[in-house]
Amino acid sequence: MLLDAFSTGNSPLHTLDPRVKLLAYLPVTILTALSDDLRQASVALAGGIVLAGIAGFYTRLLLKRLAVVNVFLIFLWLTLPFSVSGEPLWHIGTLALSKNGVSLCLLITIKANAIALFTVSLPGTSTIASLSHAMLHLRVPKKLVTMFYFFYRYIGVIANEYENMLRMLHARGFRPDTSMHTVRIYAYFTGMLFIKSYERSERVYNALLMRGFNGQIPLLAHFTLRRQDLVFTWCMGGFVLIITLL
Amino acid sequence: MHISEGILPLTTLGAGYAISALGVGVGLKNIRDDEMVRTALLSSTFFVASLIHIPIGPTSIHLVLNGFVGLLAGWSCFIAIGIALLLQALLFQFGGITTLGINTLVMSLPALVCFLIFSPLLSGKKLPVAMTGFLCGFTSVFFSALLLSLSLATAGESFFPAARLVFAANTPLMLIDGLITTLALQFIMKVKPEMLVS
Repeated sequence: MLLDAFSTGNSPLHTLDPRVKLLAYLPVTILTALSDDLRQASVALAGGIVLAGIAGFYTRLLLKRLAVVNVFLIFLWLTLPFSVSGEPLWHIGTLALSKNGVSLCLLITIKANAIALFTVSLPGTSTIASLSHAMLHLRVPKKLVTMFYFFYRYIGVIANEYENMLRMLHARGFRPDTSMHTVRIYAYFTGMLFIKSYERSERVYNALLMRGFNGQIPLLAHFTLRRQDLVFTWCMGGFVLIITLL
Repeated sequence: MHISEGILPLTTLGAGYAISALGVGVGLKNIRDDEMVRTALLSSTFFVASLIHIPIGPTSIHLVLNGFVGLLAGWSCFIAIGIALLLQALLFQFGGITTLGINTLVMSLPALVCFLIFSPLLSGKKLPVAMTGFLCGFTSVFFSALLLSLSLATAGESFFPAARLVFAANTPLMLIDGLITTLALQFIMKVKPEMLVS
């Protein structure tokens, strides 16, 4: 299970200080999410496209990710054009597509895609380990960050367990279909997965305890701000200013 | 169940963050070191378990299991669900960082309510395990879908049809999650009851 697929690479964005990336990410994302102006949203989207380009992400993987983002918006495209009142654009039988509804859908779609691009190219270009470290600098509670790190660390392990159990089921001739039998098998499967994780958590805790765990992980590497980090901060500051002034 | 970025107004997003932060804060306050590790791995399992797809005719549906997580995590359920959603927001770009608060609230508040209602019933053996499990799985998804629709409705009257559609689309999931929770709970009560009865 490859999770942080975008975090490997050697583009300028990948080498930036993750603290700077998080600090730039939050204002642009919040600003974009709350904007209700089509021009602002378009500029944000253009910025997102540029950032993804700098990170070297013009690939099929990015399109797949964006497709997922847009699937969630189908609900809106199915309802909003009909429910927003305003000047009709098109008539389908008794239903009228309103111009305001379509432009509202368009606005939301542009904003969602812009934010998705910010996410892959800013926090997405750092590993989860360094993002966790950066979160500590941004005053996220230590225990929460430690738990987030453990959670991330053990996804791969649990996913392995999941795949092994699934292989075992298939080897014994299990073929999922729409039946109570399938539901029962998957329920026991789920129960077993949770039991295994519970038992593993005891072993992990004992191993940690033996190594002197006291609720946090000591850090060896530290971040240093370099010139490119400052230049990037200024650029993003300018970008935020442009969006606000529009 | 997610709300995409760029739909909800600031007040809803802010309220989501405020309540979720409170939930996470309460969870963090008295957590012991061993519970930290246990909750983190529970969260990993919750994340992986969403890969399980139950076939329904030509399509399939993936499990939510937030009521089940509520029973296992108790007061830490806001943390367990919140960190899983944080990772999703950072890596998969659905949900998102501005909607993290409200999405966490939508999933975790029903989980916590289920824990408070059904955990005493389970340890007191006042209801058959099967019925407790079904009610827990069903109500947690029911309330999550309801919260999701309500928060969508705060975006304005024009979002009401979308809110209703989202709620309707989640009804099969309530039944499936109820069934799976029933059977999985029975399994755990038989194999490792100390996971639940605290």
